[in-house]
Amino acid sequence: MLALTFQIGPESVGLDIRRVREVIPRVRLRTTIGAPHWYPGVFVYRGYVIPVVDLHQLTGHGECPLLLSSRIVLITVQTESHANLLLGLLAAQVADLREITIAEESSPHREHLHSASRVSMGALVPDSHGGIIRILDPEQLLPRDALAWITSTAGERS
Amino acid sequence: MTQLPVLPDISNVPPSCWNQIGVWGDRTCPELRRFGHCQNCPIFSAAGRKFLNAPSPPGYVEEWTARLAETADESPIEQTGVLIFRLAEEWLALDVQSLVEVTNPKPIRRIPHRSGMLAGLVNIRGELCLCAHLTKVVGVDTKGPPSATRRMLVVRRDVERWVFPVDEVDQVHRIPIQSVGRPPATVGRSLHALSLGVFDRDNRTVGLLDDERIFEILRTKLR
Repeated sequence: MLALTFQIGPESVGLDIRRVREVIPRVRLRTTIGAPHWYPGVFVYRGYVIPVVDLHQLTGHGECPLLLSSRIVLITVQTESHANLLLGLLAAQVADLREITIAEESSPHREHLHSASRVSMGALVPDSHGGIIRILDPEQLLPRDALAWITSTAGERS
Repeated sequence: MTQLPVLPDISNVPPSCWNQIGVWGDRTCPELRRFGHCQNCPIFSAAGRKFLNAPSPPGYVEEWTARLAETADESPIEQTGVLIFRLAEEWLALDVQSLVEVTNPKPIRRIPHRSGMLAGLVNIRGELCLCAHLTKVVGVDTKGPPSATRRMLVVRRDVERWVFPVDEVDQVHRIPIQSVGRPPATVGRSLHALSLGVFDRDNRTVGLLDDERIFEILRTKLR
Protein backbone atom coordinates (compact mmCIF):
# COMPACT_ATOMS: atom_id res chain seq x y z
CA MET A 1 0.00 0.00 0.00
CA LEU A 2 1.35 3.40 -0.93
CA ALA A 3 0.86 5.70 2.00
CA LEU A 4 1.19 9.40 2.61
CA THR A 5 3.28 9.67 5.76
CA PHE A 6 3.26 12.43 8.32
CA GLN A 7 4.05 13.06 11.97
CA ILE A 8 1.74 13.55 14.90
CA GLY A 9 4.05 14.56 17.71
CA PRO A 10 6.63 11.77 17.94
CA GLU A 11 4.54 9.26 16.02
CA SER A 12 4.80 8.48 12.30
CA VAL A 13 1.44 7.95 10.72
CA GLY A 14 0.56 6.67 7.29
CA LEU A 15 -2.62 7.18 5.33
CA ASP A 16 -3.60 5.18 2.27
CA ILE A 17 -3.16 7.61 -0.62
CA ARG A 18 -6.38 6.37 -2.18
CA ARG A 19 -8.16 8.15 0.64
CA VAL A 20 -6.35 11.44 0.04
CA ARG A 21 -8.13 13.97 -2.11
CA GLU A 22 -5.49 16.71 -1.95
CA VAL A 23 -2.69 17.98 0.26
CA ILE A 24 -2.88 21.72 0.75
CA PRO A 25 -0.83 24.21 2.76
CA ARG A 26 -1.98 25.17 6.21
CA VAL A 27 -4.48 27.94 5.68
CA ARG A 28 -6.14 30.47 7.94
CA LEU A 29 -8.96 28.71 9.77
CA ARG A 30 -12.09 30.29 11.06
CA THR A 31 -12.94 29.14 14.55
CA THR A 32 -16.41 27.90 15.30
CA ILE A 33 -18.30 28.64 18.48
CA GLY A 34 -18.10 25.99 21.16
CA ALA A 35 -15.61 23.87 19.26
CA PRO A 36 -13.41 21.43 21.18
CA HIS A 37 -9.66 22.17 21.22
CA TRP A 38 -8.95 19.60 18.48
CA TYR A 39 -11.34 21.31 16.09
CA PRO A 40 -9.51 24.53 15.13
CA GLY A 41 -12.12 25.60 12.63
CA VAL A 42 -13.23 25.64 9.04
CA PHE A 43 -12.01 27.11 5.76
CA VAL A 44 -13.49 27.61 2.32
CA TYR A 45 -12.33 25.09 -0.28
CA ARG A 46 -13.58 25.71 -3.83
CA GLY A 47 -16.80 27.19 -2.56
CA TYR A 48 -17.46 24.63 0.22
CA VAL A 49 -16.91 24.99 3.94
CA ILE A 50 -14.54 22.25 5.06
CA PRO A 51 -13.94 21.34 8.72
CA VAL A 52 -10.37 20.71 9.85
CA VAL A 53 -9.28 18.41 12.67
CA ASP A 54 -5.96 19.11 14.36
CA LEU A 55 -4.44 15.65 14.86
CA HIS A 56 -1.90 16.98 17.36
CA GLN A 57 -4.59 18.34 19.65
CA LEU A 58 -6.76 15.30 19.12
CA THR A 59 -4.04 12.97 20.39
CA GLY A 60 -2.77 15.27 23.14
CA HIS A 61 0.51 16.27 21.49
CA GLY A 62 0.08 19.99 21.94
CA GLU A 63 0.34 22.52 19.14
CA CYS A 64 0.95 21.54 15.54
CA PRO A 65 4.25 23.29 14.64
CA LEU A 66 3.89 26.40 12.49
CA LEU A 67 6.10 25.19 9.64
CA LEU A 68 5.72 24.87 5.89
CA SER A 69 5.69 21.09 6.26
CA SER A 70 2.59 21.26 8.46
CA ARG A 71 -0.19 20.80 5.97
CA ILE A 72 -3.83 19.93 5.67
CA VAL A 73 -4.62 16.53 4.18
CA LEU A 74 -8.05 16.55 2.56
CA ILE A 75 -9.83 13.24 2.82
CA THR A 76 -13.35 12.02 2.25
CA VAL A 77 -15.13 10.20 5.04
CA GLN A 78 -18.38 8.29 5.10
CA THR A 79 -20.85 9.34 7.75
CA GLU A 80 -24.38 8.31 8.48
CA SER A 81 -25.77 11.45 6.87
CA HIS A 82 -23.15 12.13 4.20
CA ALA A 83 -21.76 9.73 1.63
CA ASN A 84 -18.61 11.77 0.96
CA LEU A 85 -17.82 14.37 3.54
CA LEU A 86 -14.64 16.32 2.88
CA LEU A 87 -12.57 16.61 6.01
CA GLY A 88 -9.21 18.29 6.53
CA LEU A 89 -6.59 16.71 8.80
CA LEU A 90 -3.89 19.04 10.06
CA ALA A 91 -0.62 17.19 10.59
CA ALA A 92 3.13 17.87 10.65
CA GLN A 93 5.86 16.74 8.22
CA VAL A 94 3.41 15.93 5.46
CA ALA A 95 6.19 15.45 2.92
CA ASP A 96 6.60 11.84 1.94
CA LEU A 97 5.03 8.89 0.21
CA ARG A 98 6.12 5.43 1.30
CA GLU A 99 5.31 1.90 0.30
CA ILE A 100 4.09 -0.01 3.34
CA THR A 101 3.53 -3.73 3.16
CA ILE A 102 0.90 -5.03 5.51
CA ALA A 103 1.19 -8.77 5.80
CA GLU A 104 -2.18 -10.41 5.27
CA GLU A 105 -1.76 -13.16 7.85
CA SER A 106 -0.41 -11.08 10.71
CA SER A 107 -3.26 -9.27 12.28
CA PRO A 108 -2.17 -5.72 13.02
CA HIS A 109 -2.12 -4.84 16.64
CA ARG A 110 -5.10 -2.74 17.53
CA GLU A 111 -4.86 -0.78 20.72
CA HIS A 112 -8.55 -0.97 21.21
CA LEU A 113 -11.51 -1.87 19.14
CA HIS A 114 -13.40 0.91 17.58
CA SER A 115 -15.99 2.28 19.85
CA ALA A 116 -18.56 4.93 19.26
CA SER A 117 -17.15 7.17 21.93
CA ARG A 118 -13.35 7.03 21.64
CA VAL A 119 -10.69 8.44 19.37
CA SER A 120 -8.95 5.70 17.41
CA MET A 121 -5.74 6.41 15.57
CA GLY A 122 -5.60 3.08 13.81
CA ALA A 123 -3.41 0.01 13.81
CA LEU A 124 0.34 -0.16 14.36
CA VAL A 125 2.40 -1.93 11.72
CA PRO A 126 6.16 -2.29 11.27
CA ASP A 127 7.64 -0.12 8.53
CA SER A 128 10.53 -1.02 6.25
CA HIS A 129 13.02 0.96 8.36
CA GLY A 130 12.43 -1.21 11.42
CA GLY A 131 10.22 1.36 13.04
CA ILE A 132 6.56 1.40 13.79
CA ILE A 133 4.04 3.29 11.76
CA ARG A 134 0.41 3.84 12.45
CA ILE A 135 -2.09 3.31 9.67
CA LEU A 136 -4.77 5.89 10.07
CA ASP A 137 -8.31 4.76 9.46
CA PRO A 138 -10.33 7.89 8.71
CA GLU A 139 -13.63 6.19 9.46
CA GLN A 140 -12.56 5.26 12.97
CA LEU A 141 -10.64 8.41 13.76
CA LEU A 142 -13.39 10.36 15.45
CA PRO A 143 -16.13 9.29 17.79
CA ARG A 144 -19.38 9.08 15.92
CA ASP A 145 -21.12 11.90 17.75
CA ALA A 146 -18.09 14.20 17.31
CA LEU A 147 -18.11 13.61 13.56
CA ALA A 148 -21.84 14.21 13.46
CA TRP A 149 -21.36 17.48 15.31
CA ILE A 150 -18.64 18.62 12.91
CA THR A 151 -20.88 17.75 10.00
CA SER A 152 -23.66 19.84 11.42
CA THR A 153 -21.39 22.90 11.77
CA ALA A 154 -19.67 22.62 8.42
CA GLY A 155 -22.73 22.64 6.25
CA GLU A 156 -24.02 20.27 3.66
CA ARG A 157 -21.88 18.49 1.17
CA SER A 158 -22.91 15.48 -0.78
CA MET B 1 30.01 -2.16 15.07
CA THR B 2 27.01 -1.24 13.03
CA GLN B 3 26.81 2.12 11.42
CA LEU B 4 23.91 4.17 12.58
CA PRO B 5 21.84 5.64 9.81
CA VAL B 6 22.44 9.36 9.79
CA LEU B 7 21.08 12.15 7.69
CA PRO B 8 23.69 13.33 5.20
CA ASP B 9 25.74 16.24 6.45
CA ILE B 10 24.93 19.12 4.17
CA SER B 11 27.14 21.65 5.94
CA ASN B 12 30.26 20.98 3.85
CA VAL B 13 28.65 21.05 0.42
CA PRO B 14 28.09 24.38 -1.31
CA PRO B 15 24.60 25.77 -0.79
CA SER B 16 22.27 24.82 -3.63
CA CYS B 17 24.96 22.58 -5.15
CA TRP B 18 22.36 21.28 -7.60
CA ASN B 19 22.41 24.69 -9.25
CA GLN B 20 26.18 24.78 -9.48
CA ILE B 21 27.56 21.28 -10.05
CA GLY B 22 24.30 19.35 -10.37
CA VAL B 23 21.81 18.88 -13.18
CA TRP B 24 20.84 22.56 -13.12
CA GLY B 25 24.52 23.56 -13.14
CA ASP B 26 27.50 22.26 -15.08
CA ARG B 27 26.92 18.58 -14.11
CA THR B 28 30.43 18.11 -12.71
CA CYS B 29 29.27 16.60 -9.39
CA PRO B 30 30.91 13.17 -8.90
CA GLU B 31 27.77 11.87 -7.18
CA LEU B 32 25.76 12.35 -10.37
CA ARG B 33 27.13 9.14 -11.80
CA ARG B 34 25.72 7.23 -8.85
CA PHE B 35 22.33 8.96 -8.56
CA GLY B 36 21.69 10.01 -12.13
CA HIS B 37 19.67 13.04 -11.10
CA CYS B 38 19.85 15.44 -8.17
CA GLN B 39 16.32 14.45 -7.23
CA ASN B 40 17.64 11.03 -6.17
CA CYS B 41 20.47 12.48 -4.11
CA PRO B 42 20.15 12.50 -0.30
CA ILE B 43 21.70 15.97 -0.13
CA PHE B 44 18.90 17.34 -2.29
CA SER B 45 16.28 15.56 -0.17
CA ALA B 46 17.86 16.83 3.04
CA ALA B 47 17.87 20.37 1.68
CA GLY B 48 14.21 19.95 0.72
CA ARG B 49 13.34 18.88 4.25
CA LYS B 50 15.30 21.77 5.67
CA PHE B 51 13.33 24.12 3.45
CA LEU B 52 10.03 22.63 4.58
CA ASN B 53 11.01 22.95 8.22
CA ALA B 54 11.03 26.70 7.99
CA PRO B 55 8.10 28.85 9.03
CA SER B 56 5.91 30.00 6.19
CA PRO B 57 6.85 33.35 4.64
CA PRO B 58 4.63 36.37 5.41
CA GLY B 59 1.48 36.46 3.33
CA TYR B 60 1.74 32.78 2.37
CA VAL B 61 -1.12 31.58 4.55
CA GLU B 62 -3.40 34.41 3.43
CA GLU B 63 -2.56 33.83 -0.23
CA TRP B 64 -3.40 30.14 -0.03
CA THR B 65 -6.55 30.76 2.01
CA ALA B 66 -7.79 33.05 -0.77
CA ARG B 67 -6.61 30.77 -3.58
CA LEU B 68 -8.32 27.66 -2.22
CA ALA B 69 -11.53 29.54 -1.54
CA GLU B 70 -11.92 30.28 -5.25
CA THR B 71 -14.27 27.98 -7.03
CA ALA B 72 -12.57 25.85 -9.62
CA ASP B 73 -13.47 26.71 -13.18
CA GLU B 74 -15.53 23.72 -14.24
CA SER B 75 -15.21 24.34 -17.97
CA PRO B 76 -11.62 25.24 -18.80
CA ILE B 77 -11.32 27.44 -21.86
CA GLU B 78 -10.30 25.47 -24.90
CA GLN B 79 -7.09 26.88 -26.26
CA THR B 80 -5.09 26.35 -29.38
CA GLY B 81 -1.48 27.16 -30.17
CA VAL B 82 -0.85 29.36 -33.19
CA LEU B 83 2.27 30.80 -34.73
CA ILE B 84 1.86 34.48 -35.54
CA PHE B 85 3.80 35.86 -38.50
CA ARG B 86 3.72 38.81 -40.87
CA LEU B 87 3.22 38.88 -44.63
CA ALA B 88 3.87 42.42 -45.89
CA GLU B 89 1.40 44.49 -43.79
CA GLU B 90 -0.78 41.57 -42.77
CA TRP B 91 -0.44 39.70 -39.48
CA LEU B 92 -1.50 36.09 -39.91
CA ALA B 93 -1.43 32.93 -37.83
CA LEU B 94 -1.12 29.21 -38.53
CA ASP B 95 -2.02 26.34 -36.24
CA VAL B 96 1.16 24.92 -34.71
CA GLN B 97 0.00 21.39 -35.49
CA SER B 98 0.99 21.84 -39.11
CA LEU B 99 4.18 23.75 -38.35
CA VAL B 100 7.47 21.88 -38.62
CA GLU B 101 10.04 24.61 -38.19
CA VAL B 102 10.99 28.23 -38.71
CA THR B 103 14.33 28.75 -40.45
CA ASN B 104 16.45 31.59 -41.69
CA PRO B 105 15.93 32.53 -45.33
CA LYS B 106 17.59 30.13 -47.73
CA PRO B 107 18.17 30.55 -51.46
CA ILE B 108 15.17 29.56 -53.55
CA ARG B 109 15.99 27.66 -56.77
CA ARG B 110 13.46 28.56 -59.40
CA ILE B 111 11.91 25.80 -61.43
CA PRO B 112 12.14 26.51 -65.18
CA HIS B 113 8.88 27.47 -66.90
CA ARG B 114 7.04 27.66 -63.59
CA SER B 115 6.10 30.88 -61.85
CA GLY B 116 3.17 32.40 -60.04
CA MET B 117 2.46 30.79 -56.69
CA LEU B 118 5.33 28.35 -56.96
CA ALA B 119 8.54 30.04 -55.95
CA GLY B 120 10.84 27.06 -56.48
CA LEU B 121 12.81 24.55 -54.45
CA VAL B 122 14.47 25.13 -51.10
CA ASN B 123 17.03 22.95 -49.39
CA ILE B 124 15.82 22.26 -45.84
CA ARG B 125 18.37 20.11 -44.00
CA GLY B 126 19.33 18.29 -47.15
CA GLU B 127 15.77 17.73 -48.23
CA LEU B 128 14.36 19.57 -51.24
CA CYS B 129 11.04 21.17 -50.44
CA LEU B 130 8.62 23.03 -52.65
CA CYS B 131 8.41 26.67 -51.78
CA ALA B 132 5.28 28.71 -52.45
CA HIS B 133 4.49 32.41 -52.22
CA LEU B 134 1.89 32.56 -49.48
CA THR B 135 1.32 36.20 -50.44
CA LYS B 136 -0.04 35.09 -53.80
CA VAL B 137 -2.05 32.24 -52.30
CA VAL B 138 -3.91 34.41 -49.80
CA GLY B 139 -3.82 37.56 -51.91
CA VAL B 140 -1.71 39.94 -49.84
CA ASP B 141 -0.10 42.91 -51.59
CA THR B 142 3.67 42.87 -51.43
CA LYS B 143 5.01 46.39 -51.35
CA GLY B 144 8.28 47.84 -50.21
CA PRO B 145 11.72 46.27 -49.86
CA PRO B 146 12.17 42.83 -48.27
CA SER B 147 12.51 43.21 -44.53
CA ALA B 148 15.55 42.16 -42.54
CA THR B 149 13.42 39.94 -40.32
CA ARG B 150 12.51 37.51 -43.10
CA ARG B 151 12.09 33.84 -42.16
CA MET B 152 10.88 30.69 -43.77
CA LEU B 153 8.07 28.55 -42.39
CA VAL B 154 8.19 24.83 -43.01
CA VAL B 155 4.71 23.36 -42.74
CA ARG B 156 3.47 19.84 -43.20
CA ARG B 157 0.16 18.15 -43.50
CA ASP B 158 0.17 14.36 -43.86
CA VAL B 159 2.90 13.76 -46.44
CA GLU B 160 2.82 17.19 -48.07
CA ARG B 161 5.54 19.61 -47.06
CA TRP B 162 5.70 23.25 -48.07
CA VAL B 163 7.97 26.17 -47.36
CA PHE B 164 6.57 29.69 -47.16
CA PRO B 165 8.77 32.79 -47.07
CA VAL B 166 7.35 35.31 -44.59
CA ASP B 167 8.47 38.81 -43.61
CA GLU B 168 8.54 38.38 -39.86
CA VAL B 169 7.78 35.68 -37.31
CA ASP B 170 6.45 36.66 -33.91
CA GLN B 171 6.09 33.56 -31.73
CA VAL B 172 3.69 30.80 -30.77
CA HIS B 173 0.73 32.14 -28.80
CA ARG B 174 -1.96 30.24 -27.02
CA ILE B 175 -5.34 31.68 -27.87
CA PRO B 176 -8.79 30.70 -26.63
CA ILE B 177 -10.78 29.25 -29.51
CA GLN B 178 -13.80 31.34 -28.51
CA SER B 179 -11.86 34.55 -29.14
CA VAL B 180 -11.57 33.77 -32.87
CA GLY B 181 -14.26 35.84 -34.52
CA ARG B 182 -15.55 36.20 -38.05
CA PRO B 183 -13.22 38.11 -40.35
CA PRO B 184 -14.41 41.61 -41.29
CA ALA B 185 -15.96 42.05 -44.70
CA THR B 186 -13.20 44.42 -45.76
CA VAL B 187 -10.67 41.60 -45.86
CA GLY B 188 -9.75 40.59 -49.42
CA ARG B 189 -11.84 37.86 -50.96
CA SER B 190 -9.23 35.08 -51.16
CA LEU B 191 -7.90 35.84 -47.67
CA HIS B 192 -11.49 35.80 -46.42
CA ALA B 193 -12.02 32.38 -47.90
CA LEU B 194 -8.77 31.04 -46.49
CA SER B 195 -9.09 32.27 -42.93
CA LEU B 196 -10.91 30.62 -40.07
CA GLY B 197 -11.40 33.98 -38.40
CA VAL B 198 -9.59 36.85 -36.73
CA PHE B 199 -8.45 37.45 -33.17
CA ASP B 200 -6.79 40.29 -31.31
CA ARG B 201 -3.32 39.87 -29.92
CA ASP B 202 -1.02 42.63 -28.65
CA ASN B 203 -3.15 45.44 -30.13
CA ARG B 204 -3.22 43.99 -33.59
CA THR B 205 -5.75 41.96 -35.46
CA VAL B 206 -4.42 38.62 -36.59
CA GLY B 207 -6.03 36.45 -39.25
CA LEU B 208 -6.03 32.74 -38.45
CA LEU B 209 -5.37 30.85 -41.68
CA ASP B 210 -7.15 27.65 -42.60
CA ASP B 211 -4.19 25.40 -43.31
CA GLU B 212 -6.39 22.66 -44.74
CA ARG B 213 -7.77 25.00 -47.44
CA ILE B 214 -4.33 26.41 -48.20
CA PHE B 215 -2.91 22.95 -48.75
CA GLU B 216 -5.89 22.10 -50.93
CA ILE B 217 -5.28 25.16 -53.12
CA LEU B 218 -1.58 24.42 -53.43
CA ARG B 219 -2.36 20.83 -54.34
CA THR B 220 -4.89 21.69 -57.06
CA LYS B 221 -3.29 24.80 -58.56
CA LEU B 222 0.28 23.54 -58.69
CA ARG B 223 -0.29 20.02 -59.87
